Amino acid sequence: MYFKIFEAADGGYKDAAGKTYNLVGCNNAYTPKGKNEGWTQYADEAAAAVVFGITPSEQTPKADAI
Amino acid sequence: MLNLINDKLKTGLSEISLKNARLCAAWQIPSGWPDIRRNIVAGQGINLLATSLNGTYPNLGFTAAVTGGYSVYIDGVKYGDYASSAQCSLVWASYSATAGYAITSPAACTAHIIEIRPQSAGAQINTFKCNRVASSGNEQQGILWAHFNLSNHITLTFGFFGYDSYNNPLIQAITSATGELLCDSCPGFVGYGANYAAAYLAQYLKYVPALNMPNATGSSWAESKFGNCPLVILKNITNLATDFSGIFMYNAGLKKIALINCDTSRVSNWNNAHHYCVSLSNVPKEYNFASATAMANFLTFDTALQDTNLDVSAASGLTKIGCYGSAALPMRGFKGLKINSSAPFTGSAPQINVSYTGMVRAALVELFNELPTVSASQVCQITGSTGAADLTAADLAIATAKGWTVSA
Repeated sequence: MYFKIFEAADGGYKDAAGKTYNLVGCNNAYTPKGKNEGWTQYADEAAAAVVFGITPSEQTPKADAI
Repeated sequence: MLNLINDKLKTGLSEISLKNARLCAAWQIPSGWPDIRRNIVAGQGINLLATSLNGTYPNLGFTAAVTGGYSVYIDGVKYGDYASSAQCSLVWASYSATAGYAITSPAACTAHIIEIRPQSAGAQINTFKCNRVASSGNEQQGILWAHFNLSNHITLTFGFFGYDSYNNPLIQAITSATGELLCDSCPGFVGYGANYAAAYLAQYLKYVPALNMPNATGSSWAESKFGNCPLVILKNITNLATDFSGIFMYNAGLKKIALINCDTSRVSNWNNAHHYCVSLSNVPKEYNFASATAMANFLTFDTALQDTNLDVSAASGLTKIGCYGSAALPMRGFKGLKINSSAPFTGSAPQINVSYTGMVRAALVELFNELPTVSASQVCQITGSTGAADLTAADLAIATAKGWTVSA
């Protein structure tokens, strides 16, 4: 799957500094610049989160978790 | 059986369908419970059925505001007189004046009928609110059933729960002799634990009367919550509400929302409004989204939705909308989303999320056609939607040409 993180005040993840994010995953991302451009492939959401350096924030609902 | 159907019908047969009324029958007085509606002071009384559940819920505290003060009776025996807004505190371990009633639901235990009456003839209780007896902490109390027989408006803000103070996790029904409560503010029936953790409170709440709020002030209905009530009726909420965020979220039993003379045209915040309403069959047609700006998690994991096409085209200021399920909880009853082609969609990504819905290719293409042109890497997420795999390159180009990323 391909993943990308986006800053989001209501995001379901946070980094070490406490900034919150949404982690969006999909099979393919069709962007204005091309297929999967700017998105990175990982085995799953957990693996992506590790690389992005984010952990689930405690606030729920976990926005846009798929 | 509690005649809740008739209670509901009193609110206006023409207003509430019989189908809706039948939903009210989801709660019956459990066998063996005393009927607390008897002997209540007509037009002036509040009766409670409460238990310590064998010491699990050791205290019960509440206040009532009424001119001339109020009296409290337990099982028909006077317990005390209180000034208006003074707190009545009960410590069940030290109470023995009456034997109470042996009940078997929710477990074998003793319950007591608590009557709250104005001391002055004709006086009216205009505020009721539980209060913590303990000096600190979140005190769980054991109200099983609350019945109102009032002819006046009442304020029930934090009536049965306060976030860090008290809650009544066993409460099954809040009933009214008239079938409705005239509330002057958003009532507090149930709540959640810190950070909405799994501590779901008042999961047994199956019935609340219609909430009639013609005089209400205040703008927020955020996180109102109605336990597991299958039917919620809101009446005369006009010209006030701007915040409906989380109003019904986590109500797993909610099947039907009935809005009677309610104006939601000022509601801007609809975030989480129907999050995890897994029994909800449809979205009220009466919703007016003219002022909607935030609709994140608006309809999420609502797996019982039926043939729902959501039209938010009036929301010209919309920044984000989420109507989606998951692989485990697909929301196939969600069939279409109509948006405003001038909406900014400047919220956090994904600005539009219709993942794991029943939107077929034609519905997705229709959505793409309505997308506005954007410039901030906006994302439209369609992962797992019914038609996602059927989209052609040309279909996807409709969205990408306008600056959108389609995550499929």
